[in-house]
Amino acid sequence: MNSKDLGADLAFAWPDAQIGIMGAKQAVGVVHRRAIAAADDPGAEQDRLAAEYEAEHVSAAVAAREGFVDELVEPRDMRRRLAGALAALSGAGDYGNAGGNIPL
Amino acid sequence: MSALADRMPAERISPLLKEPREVTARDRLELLCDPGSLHVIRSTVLPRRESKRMREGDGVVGAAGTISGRPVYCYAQDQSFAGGSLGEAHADTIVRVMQLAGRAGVPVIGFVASGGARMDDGIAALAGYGRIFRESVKLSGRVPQISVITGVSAGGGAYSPALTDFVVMTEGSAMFLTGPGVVREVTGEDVDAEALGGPKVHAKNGVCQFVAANDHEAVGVVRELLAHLPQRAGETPPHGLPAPVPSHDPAEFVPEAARKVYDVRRVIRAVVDNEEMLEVSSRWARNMVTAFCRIDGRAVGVIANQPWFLGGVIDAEAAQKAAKFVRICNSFGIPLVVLVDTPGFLPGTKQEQLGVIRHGAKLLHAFAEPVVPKVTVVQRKA
Repeated sequence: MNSKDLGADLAFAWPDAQIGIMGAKQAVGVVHRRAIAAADDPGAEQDRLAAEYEAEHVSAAVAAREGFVDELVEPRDMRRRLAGALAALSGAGDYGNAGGNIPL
Repeated sequence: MSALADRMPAERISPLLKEPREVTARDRLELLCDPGSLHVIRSTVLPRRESKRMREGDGVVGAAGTISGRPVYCYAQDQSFAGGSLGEAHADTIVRVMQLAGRAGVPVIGFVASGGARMDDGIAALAGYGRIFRESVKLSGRVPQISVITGVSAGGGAYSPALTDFVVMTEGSAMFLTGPGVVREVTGEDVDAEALGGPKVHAKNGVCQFVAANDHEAVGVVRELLAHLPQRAGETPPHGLPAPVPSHDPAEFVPEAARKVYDVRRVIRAVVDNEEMLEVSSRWARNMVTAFCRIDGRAVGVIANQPWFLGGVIDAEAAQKAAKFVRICNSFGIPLVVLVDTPGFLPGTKQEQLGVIRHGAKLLHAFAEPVVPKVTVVQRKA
């Protein structure tokens, strides 16, 4: 909900959050369907692939490294960061539509 | 909610508590506004056409007043006269009140209890509803509009509040397009007013956002709401007093295992001023929480997935609830704080048949549109 690309001004995440298209287990179930079915122990193989996928695609650390999340925020620091963000953005809105100041 | 009524100065409640009698339309406006601030208009107006039922004011009281020193316009329908039905002159009073509110750029609050269009006035009564609807839409998103349902409201009496930003229903009130009598006649279904359109029904379907035990509580909700809203679009909501930093770490309330549920309202309370939240539509789509709060005194609208219900999944109803709230916040310059912890959209046949694509798109549109500040925090899953 309200991701940065959808228009959030700032997106924070708790460090242990998981951000992705779907849960890692379901994701590898789709991507590696054949490999899992062919494995000696399909359940174990799905778990192994899921752990790999999770580390690579789903962690908040990855989202922050790639810039989809602006900052990882410890839960206890959440209020301070929210207050700071709201104060800094308090002037947001429609303004200055008269055009740029062209150097004449 | 009784805490809200408790907070009202005793001298404002006592005259009504001392005399246990029918609360009049005028009483409701007196209760709503600051003592001595009420200025009534059109109190002697009469229907232009002679009719059996004639009373000065034509069954509605319209007035200007102040709430916590801020000007408002308000009206209250009197169900004891012709069932609160809407006659032509009655409609004109409501339209005048709304026009003046628009002109002044101040909120308008209506106490609604109306059986619908008055049969005596025929098409002129229906035309009256047309004017009210049009005026309400004209004010929509420009000034806050709040309705308090204090009696049985049918037809236009249900649609006119539905066009406003917030609906508060008191216990014993009801809203429906057609009453139990007509329902019985047309479909054969035998149902009473409460089961057809009482507060329990409309708190769960999103028609009303708040339920109050009585008029005092309802007025408390209205005053609390207005404290989080600006007088009109383009202005800033009033700042709260400085609050001490909350003592709880929000992580205390969130289990580490992603599949374990918790009440997100505890997380919200741990980051907002005085742990206070005014929850909007608390009984509708409980897998999504929408609430007015303050952070460092600044009014904010909080939208949060609620893992406590359905694991915080987003379904058609939750999407509509959040979308509606986001649009109100954007209209009135209230920054959005979005707390995310959801497995995503609810999959399945039922949701697809309900049109989850269309309702989910409302939420996407609502989030992509706002000009107000928007800040997102992901707790566990997004």
